[in-house]
Amino acid sequence: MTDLLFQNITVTGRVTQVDLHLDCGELVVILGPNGAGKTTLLKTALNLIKPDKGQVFYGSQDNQSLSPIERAKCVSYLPQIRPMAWPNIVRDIVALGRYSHGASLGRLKGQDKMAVNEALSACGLTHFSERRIDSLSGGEIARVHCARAFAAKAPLLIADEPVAALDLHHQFKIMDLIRDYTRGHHGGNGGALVVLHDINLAAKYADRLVWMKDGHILANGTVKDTLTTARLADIYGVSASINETSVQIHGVLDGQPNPKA
Amino acid sequence: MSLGLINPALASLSDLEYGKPMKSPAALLLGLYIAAGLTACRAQGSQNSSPAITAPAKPMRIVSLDFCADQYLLKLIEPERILALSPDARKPISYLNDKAQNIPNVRPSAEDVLRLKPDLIIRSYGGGPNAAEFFTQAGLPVINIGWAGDFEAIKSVTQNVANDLGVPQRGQLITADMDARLAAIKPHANMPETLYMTPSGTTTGAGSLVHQIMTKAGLGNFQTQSGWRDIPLERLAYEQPDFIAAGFFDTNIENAWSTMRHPIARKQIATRPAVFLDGSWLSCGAWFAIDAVEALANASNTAPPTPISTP
Amino acid sequence: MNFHRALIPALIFASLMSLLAACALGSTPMSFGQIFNAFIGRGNAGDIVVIWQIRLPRAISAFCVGAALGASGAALQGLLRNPLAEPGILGVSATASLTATFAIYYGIVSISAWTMPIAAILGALLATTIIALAAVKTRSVVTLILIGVGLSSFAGATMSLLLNFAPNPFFLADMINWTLGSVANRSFADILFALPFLILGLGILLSARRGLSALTLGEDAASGLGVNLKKQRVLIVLGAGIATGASVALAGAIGFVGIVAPHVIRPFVRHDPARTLIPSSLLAGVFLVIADIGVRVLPTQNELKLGVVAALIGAPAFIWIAMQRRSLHD
Repeated sequence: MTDLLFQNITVTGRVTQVDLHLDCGELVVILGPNGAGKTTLLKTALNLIKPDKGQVFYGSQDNQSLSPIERAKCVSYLPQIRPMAWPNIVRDIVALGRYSHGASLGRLKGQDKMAVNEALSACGLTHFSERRIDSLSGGEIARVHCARAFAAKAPLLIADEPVAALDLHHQFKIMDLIRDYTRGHHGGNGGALVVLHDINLAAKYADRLVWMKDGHILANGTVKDTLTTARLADIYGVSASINETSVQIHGVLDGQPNPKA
Repeated sequence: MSLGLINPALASLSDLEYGKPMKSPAALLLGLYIAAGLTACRAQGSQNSSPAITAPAKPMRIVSLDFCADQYLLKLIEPERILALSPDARKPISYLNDKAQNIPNVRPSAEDVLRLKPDLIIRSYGGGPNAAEFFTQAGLPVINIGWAGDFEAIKSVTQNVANDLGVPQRGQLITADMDARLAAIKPHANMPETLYMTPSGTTTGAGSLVHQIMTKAGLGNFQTQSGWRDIPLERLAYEQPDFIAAGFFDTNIENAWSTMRHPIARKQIATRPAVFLDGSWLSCGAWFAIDAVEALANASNTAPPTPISTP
Repeated sequence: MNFHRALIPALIFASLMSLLAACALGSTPMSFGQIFNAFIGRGNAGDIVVIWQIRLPRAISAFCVGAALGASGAALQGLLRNPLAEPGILGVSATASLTATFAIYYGIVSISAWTMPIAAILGALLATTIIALAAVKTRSVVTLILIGVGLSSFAGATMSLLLNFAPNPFFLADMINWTLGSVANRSFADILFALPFLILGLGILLSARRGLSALTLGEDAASGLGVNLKKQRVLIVLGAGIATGASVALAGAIGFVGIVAPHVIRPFVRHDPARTLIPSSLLAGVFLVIADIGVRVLPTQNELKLGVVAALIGAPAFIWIAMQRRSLHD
């Protein structure tokens, strides 16, 4: 069981003194306007950005003391989807998830093969497995990347806007997969830290919400506790009404300072 | 540009300059360029063209545009009358370079030459193909030294140049000397098969001045195909020459792709009796080519091989 | 897409066939019986010399040069995630040609026959070191490309300067050989000189090829998968630089084969950059051996240069790839 701990993380100009703990089995969603420091924070967790102050721990290990392979064994990373350099085959892309285990594409060993097959089936890709990625739709591509992240069987998952630009079906499908992951399916047994823009999606799936603005965490708690109209006004500058976990945005609030866009 | 002009043009470059036909596109273009400027009749030797403008009876300010023309000037004219020589006059490739030590050089560009106010220009290839026409238009007499591919042509070219320079008797002296020296040659009786080798890896068969040099020294040419070609590496695997005539090893360097680099070629020079011919003797196709004939004729074909500088 | 199992054996077979074909050609007509006997060391002594010392080294040189360039091109395309990347992009070939040209210009080559290949290798190592240092210090591969372009431009400008000051036509011809590329008159001694660098470069590339697969997802995602980005960049640059340097020392600067071979191979290996390395190497080797056969066989007035044949085929291929890519990634 590995938990994720951000301790006093500061990245000058972008993130200031952030403390955040992600427990095993928790799905935590980070919300906030553009420029709030969400992606920066995520990148410090992956050592893609070195914080000016503070440390990130996987369990008890400082992530900077680990080699990239060791880090990859602890955390699976789902970055914002970018076009791939080569039109690879779905199965090979999912097999990349086994990179930290020493797998080479085209010569997968038993355990790696099994992990790949499981990930493909979990994401409903088994009948796509020999297709080129450039022949798939956006939603299907997102599932492929999810499968890749799951194939690693790492205890932690970090996802940066995994459902951006997807159709409704796939938005929910991907979030379902991530939640199953935190519940111990698909090789996961740790937590997932996800950045989302869609409040409703966040409210539906998150165990905990983390609200960021201007590099600070302004609120960190359950959906019930932190999802309020005042919060939405403060963070996003919008007026809204909230019913249980569904949010209806009415519009921009006049007179509110423009949140950093 | 017919093919008939290309081969002689390339061969003329080889005889006039450094003894190697250039095998790259740039050289081919250069050859075509020069051939375009030369007269259309390309035989084994050609008349040099007398100046379109008559030269003064005793020219006092003569400028030479290339190192071949330098030789004629240095041989036939007193130094005080030579205004300037080409930039190559003092280099090892220049046969009379010791005589050129105190004479100034000029770059063969129209501007630099005209600034000196010469009264006669002499050239073989220097200044480019349009040089003769240009200087003529500028009002200067230009002696174009003809190309000579054998000793007869050399004699006639030398005489013509001497005539144009106003010193015909000196020309006769040179040709008479050539005849005497050629007559005095004792050629090898047994005609040893000789391969001509150069640092650039080319050799020559019948039809070139080098071939005639070898024949006059009583040597047989190992190379059976006429013209300038690469040293025949594959043939050397089966049969080897008795003797090596090595030209230009003092003035030219090997290039990285020269046939000469190959161990088979190196082996010939290392293990066969070899005579090293100065590059200056073999350039320009002029009277001093007889030095090469003499060197070859005098060489003993049981002489120990001379090691060359490049391994 | 299921050819990939047979791919490498097929390419090895093609390599052997092309080498044999290259040995069958030359100025001395030889029957197949003679060639075979010479290969196994029996028969006429002259035949054996012709095959083993003249034709075979030339063919093997062409193959080694192709192998180096094919592998380097494949690796660089994987690292830079761009199908138009090629070994010349590092500025290694240009710098190697430049240092060799300097050695000729200043007459150092008269010291020893090895001065020129040594000068070429030193130039290649210099360029490789500069780019490897940049790979250590910067994060962006764009910087590497720019430095490579800078090196090529500088080398090109300086060579133009030397061309300007060419003391004689042979110097010009020599420089042209370096920039056009040729394997004429190569012997086993030349190959043995280049071989250690070749093996070192290829070895480094092969050891670092796994990371190339991961890079297809982008640098951040690859890092998340466990790729050490800095080490990956440095190793690929070092390997490609050294291997390319060896090929320049052997044959001058030959371009395009490093772009075209990986491009042809990719569909057969499911577009995985790591798996393009060895097949590209073999294919490029075969390609150059055949191009060299063309160089010797085509009845042109002057002997065609190997690099020219490679460029004549490669340049249109380059344009075609560029246009294909445009439609894919717009």
